[in-house]
Amino acid sequence: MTTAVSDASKLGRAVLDARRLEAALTEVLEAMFFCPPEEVAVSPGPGPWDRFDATECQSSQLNFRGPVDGAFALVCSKHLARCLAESFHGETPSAGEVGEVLLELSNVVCGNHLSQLDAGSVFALDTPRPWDRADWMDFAATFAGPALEHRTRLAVRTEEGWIAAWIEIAA
Amino acid sequence: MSLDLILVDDSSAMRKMIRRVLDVSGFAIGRCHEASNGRDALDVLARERVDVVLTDINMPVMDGEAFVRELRANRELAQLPVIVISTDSTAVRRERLDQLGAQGYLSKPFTPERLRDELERVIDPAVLAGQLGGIDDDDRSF
Repeated sequence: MTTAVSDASKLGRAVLDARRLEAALTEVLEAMFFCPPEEVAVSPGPGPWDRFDATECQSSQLNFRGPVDGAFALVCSKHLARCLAESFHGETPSAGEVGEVLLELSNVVCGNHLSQLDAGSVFALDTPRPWDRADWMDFAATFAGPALEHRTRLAVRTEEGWIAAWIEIAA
Repeated sequence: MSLDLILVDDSSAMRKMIRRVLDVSGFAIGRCHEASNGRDALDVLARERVDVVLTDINMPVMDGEAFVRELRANRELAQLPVIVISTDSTAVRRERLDQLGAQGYLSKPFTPERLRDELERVIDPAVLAGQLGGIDDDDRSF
């Protein structure tokens, strides 16, 4: 259900609301990927996500613009990315399709999340892209470091592994 | 008689998934053209006839709103049925696309039934005649 959010600061808090983000991620994983989350960790400290790295994992990030500007990203193991792509297409995916599906997952989750916040707020989403080296270093700092006011982080565990998400707004 | 259409989305993964949904939606699909943005879609539509357009909103080069605006300004394409398929389900966006002339709107994620309902609602009944079959019960949700 859409909840009215009247101003930018409230909207910013809604963008960073981990429960709302979790709800969007859960809905998309269930409906499009048949992969319901089994466990959720919000603002995680040490955990499975600490083992995420550029060689073993797949990533996707996109920027969004609107009443609030920000960025959204997903990261998971290559194994989970392959499982998700197989569910999405109903057949064994190519390597390229695995990456494309994770990009689309981030697009749908972020779009769903933002459009549930306020019926009158329209956001534009940029084309998702995989992380580069600097993004990976930032990710390591994000999940290992202290919580930041303008950034929300969470991870959900599926049958095939963990998928981490973070969303941040321009400070 | 089969249904000819064009899928306009910058995600090749989503285009492939929508084709799969269409396959289980009960329609006999004929030619299924694809384009990754509104500009490329206009190029395709300048040379190919289709019965319906399925388009995303957020795309590079030419987004969905500009694409629908161009379609409605083109005398040859002004009456072509358009269904928007987007992650954006806000009332403001829906109203804006409605005012631009998009007849259908589908929020992602969606089911084959929802896609079928939108196609039935916006396509000329004469085109639909003899089209609809059953939906595969084993493959209903996307």
